[in-house]
Amino acid sequence: MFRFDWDEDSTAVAELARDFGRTAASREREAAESGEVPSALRSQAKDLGLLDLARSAEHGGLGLAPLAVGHAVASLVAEAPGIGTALLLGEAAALFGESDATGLVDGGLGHLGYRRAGELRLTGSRVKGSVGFTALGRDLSAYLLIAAGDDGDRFCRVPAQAVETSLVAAMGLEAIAPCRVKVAGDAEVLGPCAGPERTAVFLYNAPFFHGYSRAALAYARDYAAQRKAFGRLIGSFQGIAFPLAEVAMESEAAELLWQDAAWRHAQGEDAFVLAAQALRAAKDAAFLAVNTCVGTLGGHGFVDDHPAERWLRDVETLSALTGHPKALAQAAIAFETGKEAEGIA
Amino acid sequence: MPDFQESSKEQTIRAYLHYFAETEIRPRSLEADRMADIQPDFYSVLDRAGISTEMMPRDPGSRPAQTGDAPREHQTLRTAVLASEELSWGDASFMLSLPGPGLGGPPVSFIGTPEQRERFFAVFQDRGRPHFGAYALTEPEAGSDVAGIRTRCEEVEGGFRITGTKTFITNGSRADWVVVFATLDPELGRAGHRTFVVERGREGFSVGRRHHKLGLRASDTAELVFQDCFVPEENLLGGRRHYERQQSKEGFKVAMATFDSTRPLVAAMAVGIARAAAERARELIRDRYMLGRALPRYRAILEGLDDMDRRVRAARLLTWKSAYLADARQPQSRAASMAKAYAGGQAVQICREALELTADSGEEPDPLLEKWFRDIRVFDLFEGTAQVQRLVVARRLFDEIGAKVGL
Ligand SMILES: Cc1cc2nc3c(=O)[nH]c(=O)nc-3n(C[C@H](O)[C@H](O)[C@H](O)COP(=O)(O)OP(=O)(O)OC[C@H]3O[C@@H](n4cnc5c(N)ncnc54)[C@H](O)[C@@H]3O)c2cc1C
Repeated sequence: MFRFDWDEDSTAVAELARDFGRTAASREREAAESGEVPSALRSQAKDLGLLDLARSAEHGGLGLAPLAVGHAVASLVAEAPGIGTALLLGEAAALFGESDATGLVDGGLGHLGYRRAGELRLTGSRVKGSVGFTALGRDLSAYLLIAAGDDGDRFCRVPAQAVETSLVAAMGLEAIAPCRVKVAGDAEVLGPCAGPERTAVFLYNAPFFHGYSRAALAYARDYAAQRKAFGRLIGSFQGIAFPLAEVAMESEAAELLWQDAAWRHAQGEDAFVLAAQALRAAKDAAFLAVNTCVGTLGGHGFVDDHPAERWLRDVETLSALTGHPKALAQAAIAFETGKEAEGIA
Repeated sequence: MPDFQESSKEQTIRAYLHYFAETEIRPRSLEADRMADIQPDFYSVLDRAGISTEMMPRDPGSRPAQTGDAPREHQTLRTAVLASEELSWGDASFMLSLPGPGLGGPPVSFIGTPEQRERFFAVFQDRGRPHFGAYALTEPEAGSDVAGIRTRCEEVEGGFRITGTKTFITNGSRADWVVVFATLDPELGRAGHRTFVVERGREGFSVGRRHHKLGLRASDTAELVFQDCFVPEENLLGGRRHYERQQSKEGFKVAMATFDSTRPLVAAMAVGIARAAAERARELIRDRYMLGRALPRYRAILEGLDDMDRRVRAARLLTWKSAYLADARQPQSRAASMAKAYAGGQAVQICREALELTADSGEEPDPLLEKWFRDIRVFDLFEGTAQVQRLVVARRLFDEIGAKVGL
């Protein structure tokens, strides 16, 4: 019988993440302006185990299942979107057992002819190439790379010395400081990165968007419940209320698509397409949410007195960092159809 | 009979402004955005090129500002929307920063006395440095609800004293003078509104902060503060008799009439940005490959590009129609709101679509497309929000059958 309630452990971790997010929220602007998460907050998050949600217990993490991880991520990001994303997005390497000083750089899919640029090639044990736009943790000692070999993508580990990074001026997510990565060096070649591994990454990324959707919806709702025009609360105008209802529906639907995909993945089903769709839905819902939030605030949504304009920039940047929805759909088709993909035009 | 042919003069103006936008505005665009200001050298380039808001009618659709003659061809709103699109194709912040009376022009032209027009427009004859006018209606607590403004004007010996704060004022910190809307008494509603021109330097008038914005960063948007600011009688637009004659609702009407003439210009700006984004997307996609095939050979990509093109053209046609109606002196509030709402809304979608169609995982997004994505968002917000435009359109729809539905 299907059910939609969370177990106690997941709820407890999500509440922990939410409470941490609430304390971090007042420092959002500071983090965006300084380009990094205040170090005290980072240590606090580390002490609470929030940076180790996805890492297996064997590697010193909490070893949570993808559903629980996503629940916690969304809860934190909903309270402190910029800081939450900056702290956790770069932790994807933990999905594959890597230590907290390892960043994940995705330069694969080249064997499908998928990338014009941003490709890492694996020849023998040597990895070479560059990725123009990626989000990484700080002070990394090693990188987990997804590189395109002749017969598919492979995980490879290289030491930090083999990787050159430079900051990219992105329009949003200032606290993450997206960067360009150049790699040239010998790698320890690990296992293949195929459907299940990419599914895990998609599932890990989607809840960041859920968090932004929740934050934007709550902010817009609260504003509409106190701002007046024409002697009425603006929330009483259908032109304001209906779009908010639309956001609520799209966000809820996106979260459920994600829950379904994450659950099936945990059951061992092939959930690649479902996960790609869930990520796409999450992105579209988040865009709708932040865009509606800006609109609800009218001219006030366009200036930095309110966080709405920053969230709009953040969501679009996050979308670019994690692959735009259209590209994801194409990736899904490519994986589904494999070598037949050439016929999809 | 409809006719979609631009006159040869219009074609020349369009081509000239496009060339100017391509060679003088675009190359400065990203840097100006980073600096949140226009490079000072731009104004001498502009002057040398002979481009000014003189190309834009000050009071489109109505009698020309100073002469009383019929509008000359280059002063029609139709020409102005062509100009607006081309310059905004280069960068809309530059378009908004063109020296001239800006949004402040129409009210001065509409109801200013001949003496006032002469006096306030004279400053723009000076080519020594750029001069600006501005239009200050919005307040922190009153935007869409224009009738709800709280800035007070109190009658005193020889004039008025103005007290209140105006917010989000385009060119507010650059302006030589500002058209300010104030109320004698908020209880009087629209009948209490008065319109003034307040010159920079008047005691009690100061510029507050400049706003940091999502986009259009090189365009100046400022807060203006009036604290017991004395404004002489002769700066009451139209003079006292104007308000008596018009049974006092004239201040509000002035505020609204301005929008009928400026909304087509704003719609044209949105068209210019959307067109720029659609063209850039096409350019970037042209040489890309995926799964061993050129991107333009994918149906989904082509559909995306075609869709953008269609929506840009539809927005432009609505804009042209509203400008045409204004030039023909026909009622055009509905057309102006439709153009503004459609162009603003579609352009937001087009700019996002362009960013996403061209996105390549692992590749830095195109900085121009990112900028336009930020810039375009305001076109659904200023000069009447998306909702307010829809209210205007819907009200006119019901008016057609004389129905009062309580909108
Ligand atoms: C970059 C920029 C430049 C600007 N330049 C100028 C300028 O030069 N001069 C000037 O005077 N102003 C200027 N403005 C202000 C702009 O015109 C206002 O911001 C705009 O009119 C909306 O007002 P508001 O921000 O107070 O929103 P509000 O009026 O508070 O509206 C909030 C939300 O409620 C909605 N709403 C309100 N009433 C209704 C209703 N009846 N039905 C349905 N929905 C409703 C609105 O659509 C909006 O979504 C500028 C603004 C910006 C951002």
